Amino acid sequence: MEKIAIVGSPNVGKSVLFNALTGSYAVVSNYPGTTVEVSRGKTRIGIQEYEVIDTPGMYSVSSITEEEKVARSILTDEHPRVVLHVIDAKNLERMLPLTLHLLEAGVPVILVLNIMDEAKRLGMTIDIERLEKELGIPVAGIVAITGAGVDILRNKIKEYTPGKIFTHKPKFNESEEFNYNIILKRQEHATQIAKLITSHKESSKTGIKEHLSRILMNPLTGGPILLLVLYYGLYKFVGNFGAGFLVDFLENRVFAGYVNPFAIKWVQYFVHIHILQDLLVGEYGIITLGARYAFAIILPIVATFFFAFAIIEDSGYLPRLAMLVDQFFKKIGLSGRAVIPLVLGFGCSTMATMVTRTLSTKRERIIATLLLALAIPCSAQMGVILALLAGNPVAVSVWLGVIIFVFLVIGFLTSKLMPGEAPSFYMEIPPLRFPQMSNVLRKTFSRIMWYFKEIFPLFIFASFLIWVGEITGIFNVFVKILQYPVSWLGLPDKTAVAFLFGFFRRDYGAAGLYDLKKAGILSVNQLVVACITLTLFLPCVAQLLMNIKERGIKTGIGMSVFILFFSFSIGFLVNFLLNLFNIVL
Amino acid sequence: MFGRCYERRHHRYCGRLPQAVLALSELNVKDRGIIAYLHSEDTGQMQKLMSIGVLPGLPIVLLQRSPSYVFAMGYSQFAIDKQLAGAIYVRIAN
Repeated sequence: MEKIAIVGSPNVGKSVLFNALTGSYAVVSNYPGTTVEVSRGKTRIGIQEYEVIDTPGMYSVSSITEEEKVARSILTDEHPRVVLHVIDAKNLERMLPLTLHLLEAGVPVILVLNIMDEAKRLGMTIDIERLEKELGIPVAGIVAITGAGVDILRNKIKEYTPGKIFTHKPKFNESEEFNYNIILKRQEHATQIAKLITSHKESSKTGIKEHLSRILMNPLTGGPILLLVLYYGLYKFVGNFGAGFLVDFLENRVFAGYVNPFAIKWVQYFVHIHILQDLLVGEYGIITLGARYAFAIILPIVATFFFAFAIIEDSGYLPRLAMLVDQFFKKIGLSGRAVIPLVLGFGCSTMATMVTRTLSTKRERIIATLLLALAIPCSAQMGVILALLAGNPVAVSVWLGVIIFVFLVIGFLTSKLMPGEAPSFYMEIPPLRFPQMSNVLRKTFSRIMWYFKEIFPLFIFASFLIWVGEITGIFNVFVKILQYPVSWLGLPDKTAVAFLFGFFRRDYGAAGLYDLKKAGILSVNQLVVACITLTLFLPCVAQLLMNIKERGIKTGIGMSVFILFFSFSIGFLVNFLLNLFNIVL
Repeated sequence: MFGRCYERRHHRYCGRLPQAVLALSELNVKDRGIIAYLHSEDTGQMQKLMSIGVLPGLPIVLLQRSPSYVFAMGYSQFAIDKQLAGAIYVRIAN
């Protein structure tokens, strides 16, 4: 099947065009040999069916980042019949050099000017026919998000024949890539073309969006706004609504009221072997425990978080947040860019660990991975922990204070101790956009699906392992062993079970504590110590595997061993201090 | 004789200011000009700037200095840190 590849810099609407061409059905997979995701879909133009490939964002053909390398190899190895170079119409002059570079390399390009409506609103007119003549290739002006102009683009794809080839110097040539002179020539050429084909009606008024953007980027106003976003987005929406209301409804009404009794009855009726009954609907059964945790506790929390995150992401807030925190982040060895995986870590640290790929140095990736594993609780865990400590603001502050302290100290120490170049920060600040609900929902849905594909089997597997452990008695041996470190923390023996669960999933462990609290076994002091230890504790199985996959087996295992000892030490210390000063929370 | 004098971060210029070339990190907010050249000991930094389209000859405006440097080129805005801002040299327009 012939291929159509979509290329262009980040934030120009490649994926929206991809969706417009293919419908929404896409297969997302890792590019062979790398960890970069590439979406592929199908489209029919006339009688011909094409495979459409959405490449990762690239600013240049010169492959600085892993994403750019993948985009480049799609162009060179997959021989697409047509390459759609998507650019933001209003930034034509700055984005045209990449078009010229592609043409120099003999790539069969159709230039797509996207977001034509915004350019028009800014008083900019573009002579598309003239641009076609200057470049010698087809050019289409579209508004991908509404679908305007996409039919014209389809026609141009159908009628495409390769156009002229520009040479400022022949071909892609590795050694020539950062030749200052060639890059300058290309830019001069682009500027010259842009002057010929665009005209501006100067509109000097700064729009509301621009004002809002300044407010977000000013530390004096941006700081309080960040707190508001965290308070309403994270605490109110995810915490109160997701982890409170929805969890309560699903767990107490749906599962306790209908699913569990029904499942128990059904299993007891059809399955007569006692051990198998236990596996399915026992105390740690696949349905009564595994499915209940996955659907009633984890799903609502993760779903509300991903929904809130998608809105924040699509509005263009994250790059503004990154520029606000960059100076501070440099002190813990990270650049402002790292704020994106770290915030995502509050949803799912496993997914966030994967996103650390967008950081440009190995040193930054290691520091971010360590902080995610150690001091950033995922939404599931945080939801349960906040529920555990609810109604006791002092306890919440002690927990929060200790976690923030650990985050800062460990970040600061690793950045001092770890060799490697200091991070540098550069990031495009896209215009603020009103998030499109359909896009937000699609993103939320696909992330939830990813999460479930990744973790649901682990829940089932964990239930199964606990069942095997119980039958064989291994489970009891582990619990016995764990009772020692747990007792050093001043916690009752029963918490050892929650900690053992913590190995399978951190939130599993937290949910285990939840059961203990309901039974009234833990004092507030004990709860705080347990929550702190469990937050810092070894990552869940999925994250452990992700750490090893992303950072290599040596670093991954090393980190986990460090975290195991460190989390218990901090728990021990907090308990010791509380006792020393006779503090009762 | 020298005409107007201008104050800019740690510098005082008199007379033919339009010819002044200063690093972006030395500019005041709202100063605009044309990028004159890029210079850094670290070629990696220059690559990063060039890859996002920061090139000599293009107009640039400084929008914000703190907590990061924010500048506009055409209709795009970028945020960079102080080190990168020190590598962009701008010929200031009046």
